[in-house]
Amino acid sequence: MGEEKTERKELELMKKARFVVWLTIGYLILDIIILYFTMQSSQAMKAAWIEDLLYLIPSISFLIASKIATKPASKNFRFGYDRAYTIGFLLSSFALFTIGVYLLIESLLKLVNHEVVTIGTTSIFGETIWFGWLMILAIGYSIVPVFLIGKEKLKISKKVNIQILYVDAKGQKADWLTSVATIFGIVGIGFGLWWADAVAAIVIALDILSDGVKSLKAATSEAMDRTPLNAFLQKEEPLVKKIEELVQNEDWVKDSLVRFRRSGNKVTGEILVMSQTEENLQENIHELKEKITNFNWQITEVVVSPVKEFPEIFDKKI
Amino acid sequence: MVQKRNTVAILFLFIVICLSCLSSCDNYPQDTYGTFEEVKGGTLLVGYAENPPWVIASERELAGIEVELIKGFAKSINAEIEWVNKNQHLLLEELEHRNLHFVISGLTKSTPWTSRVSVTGSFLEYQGQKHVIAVPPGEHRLLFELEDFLNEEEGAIPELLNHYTGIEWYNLED
Repeated sequence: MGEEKTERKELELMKKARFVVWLTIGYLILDIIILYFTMQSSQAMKAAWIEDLLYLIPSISFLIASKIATKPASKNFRFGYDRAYTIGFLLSSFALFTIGVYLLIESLLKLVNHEVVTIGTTSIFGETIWFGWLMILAIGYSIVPVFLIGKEKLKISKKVNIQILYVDAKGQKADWLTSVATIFGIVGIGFGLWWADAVAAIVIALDILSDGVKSLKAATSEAMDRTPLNAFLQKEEPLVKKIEELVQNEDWVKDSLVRFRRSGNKVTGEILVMSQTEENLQENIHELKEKITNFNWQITEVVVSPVKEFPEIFDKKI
Repeated sequence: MVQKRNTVAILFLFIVICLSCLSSCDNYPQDTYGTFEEVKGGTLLVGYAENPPWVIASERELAGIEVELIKGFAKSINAEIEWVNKNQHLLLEELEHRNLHFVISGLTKSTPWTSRVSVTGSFLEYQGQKHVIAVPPGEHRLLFELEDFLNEEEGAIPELLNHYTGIEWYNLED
């Protein structure tokens, strides 16, 4: 009964997540169209386009991964499809990282080459209007919706433990921060500070880059079967410690080794146990397995296997 | 959490208010190197290269559509004009280094120089070409004032074109 409830809740959350992600894609496409019509210098437009296209990667990979990952295990994919999330996580982290690097290099070059941008005017109803204001409108309209979308995504990502969503949310943070920086840059240019735009962009680029490096690191470790980190990338998953204790506290267990890894939004792995006695071994193992899979919704599958000794490479102190 | 959201909203509102104040400010945007303040009531250094009907150099006087426009602009800001004659390439190089204030030579929007100097919006489209005047890079105020002037003169420009393309010794195939 309780399990059914959590499952339904998860389904609802996933539906919400997919809706928010579609919203992001819609916004990005709208933004690409608006940029097309407002950016005067084609160079700036190209840069903004490339950024928007990169921001699309996390959203699209989430949509694809979430379609694949929910499929039940099949003949050829006997471990299931959860790892689709890992691939998406790796891809979107790389996209975020690339945005950071791209923005940093672009702004540094602007400073080094002493690129002095001139912003002209446009005539609206016979009134001469500085083009900077239109650029600020074109960039600024998106700050509030993007900020809210990012916040919502971050909240959902914490609940469903899907890191692509987390990276996607970081992408939105990068997006609205860049917008704020660009506005400061344009206002600065209007004050005759030709470097304002580049300096503001460098500060934001460093922030994006640090997010990108962090998640790229987490994604590669996940692909390499690292002991699970939680979806927020910094902290060790407390789950593993709890499972280790649970196993060790069984009175028939002499010694044990827990090897867990993250598989998409699930945690899976194996537990090697040395038993005190041969008696009831099968029942004991089955019971332990049940206990663990019921322990947390993230664990749907676990292999418990009795061993005489642990593999040599393991120093028992890990 | 609610408090934090309020702070963000207030900050956003504050920025919007600041920006709208700034937009109604008279001397914003400003020049990067202060050219407009320097030429207002002073001397405009204008580079020209002959290119009829935009710039026509006769022995007595300079004439042409762009010459008339620049003369009009100089008058509107009480500035004298000092004319500099060189070939277009040299003029634009001087402009890039801000040794001149304007360059007129029948330039069009498609000039490859737009990455090195700044140009006005097109004040006239003629024979499929959008005509512009070149301004030093980074001088937003100067560009703003010139474009504002060109907008106001918009109605008079076809007349100028008629005048200069209709004169006897100059016959355009159009």
